[in-house]
Amino acid sequence: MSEGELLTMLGSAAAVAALVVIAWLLGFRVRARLASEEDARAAIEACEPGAAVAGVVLDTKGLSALARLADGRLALARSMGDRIAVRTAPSRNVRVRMMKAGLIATLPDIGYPPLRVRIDDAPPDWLKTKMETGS
Amino acid sequence: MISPELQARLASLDIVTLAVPGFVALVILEMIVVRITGRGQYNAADSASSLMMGFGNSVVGALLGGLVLAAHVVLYEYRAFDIPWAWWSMALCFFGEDLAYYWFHRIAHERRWFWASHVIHHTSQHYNLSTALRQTWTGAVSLSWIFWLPLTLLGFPPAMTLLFSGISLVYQFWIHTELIGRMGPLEWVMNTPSHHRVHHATNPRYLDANYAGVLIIWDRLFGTFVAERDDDRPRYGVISNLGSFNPFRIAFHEWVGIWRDVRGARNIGEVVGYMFGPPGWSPDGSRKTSASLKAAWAARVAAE
Repeated sequence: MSEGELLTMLGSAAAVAALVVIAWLLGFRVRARLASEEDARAAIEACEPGAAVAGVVLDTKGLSALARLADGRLALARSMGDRIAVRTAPSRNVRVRMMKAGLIATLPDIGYPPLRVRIDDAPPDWLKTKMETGS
Repeated sequence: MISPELQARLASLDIVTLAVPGFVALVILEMIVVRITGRGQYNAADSASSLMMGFGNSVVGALLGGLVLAAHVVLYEYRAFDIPWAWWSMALCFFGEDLAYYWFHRIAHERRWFWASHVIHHTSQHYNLSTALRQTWTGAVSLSWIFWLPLTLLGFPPAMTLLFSGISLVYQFWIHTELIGRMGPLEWVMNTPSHHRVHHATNPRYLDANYAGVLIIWDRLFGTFVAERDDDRPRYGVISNLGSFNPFRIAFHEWVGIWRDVRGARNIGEVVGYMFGPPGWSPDGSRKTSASLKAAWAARVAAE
């Protein structure tokens, strides 16, 4: 890389930082929340037309949700900035563990990192069964 | 003919780098207009990841761009014609480059190997000028540049093709906005914000449409044009939206997905399908492809 290219790169990096700061200062930092089970249902059904949500486990901070669809698949929803990113997958493709931090649901896709769902109560029966049997 | 001085200046013109200050100024301007008017949307985290992808693309370009240019220069030795730097050849090169871009872009959506590189540009759920800068890091290594080889083999000087490729990239920046509606007669010929919103949308009716770079005529010619509708506002992103703003996850997720699928393939047919089939292809058809999503949508509409 030449000196000129290096300077261009440094300038670009500074511009990136400046733009992010400006976006932040302008108030573009709203975080989407799933305030209720209904919010989670709506988000999932909007991404998966025709899907029927049969059960929802909601994160206590409203930043994620894990749901069971009527057809047996699982749906994962997480706050991504001011949007919700939803994934659905056959139950067998989702690994769910109970950890100290909450439920951790993992998909075999690095584009959707493990989802943490903080819960106060015990998981519902369908989720207990899922964790025990894996499907 | 073009004078040797002008030819040399055009051949060495790095139009994309020159345009960067303009990109920055327009992103700031758009953010301010969005803040004031409430039209369009921005999110700082989303824009940060888009901008980091753009920055990474520049770094990779500086490291590998020379190799791509070298490949074109080597193959230029086997050209069919000696096409000079002249106004007529530059006009031809503009159309040729735009056609090459159309086919690159179309195949980048229809074949998973190229999609793995191009998907990056579509991973934002927003559509604004920062989205335009969300660019791939793996275009050179995935051989995306082969789509421009026919121009080199025909005899267009690689620097001329590179010039129009840069112009196309700069042109495509400003169409990533929700602030501009429809542009009258320009919509017939040019790729516009409206046409490109359709391209970035995941609404079933809009999938796999409007691959144009500068001119929308190619989509009209090859049957991939879809007009934006007021009763079906575009929803942006990809079918399986990402759950991370991490640039490395964004850059490599589809490549890792290909690797996982290929590792689990049971025969060579499945390997080929996973690598070069349509994105979402699977042996049992259980995953979503554009075609299956469109068919499901058409069935739902027919049932209603």
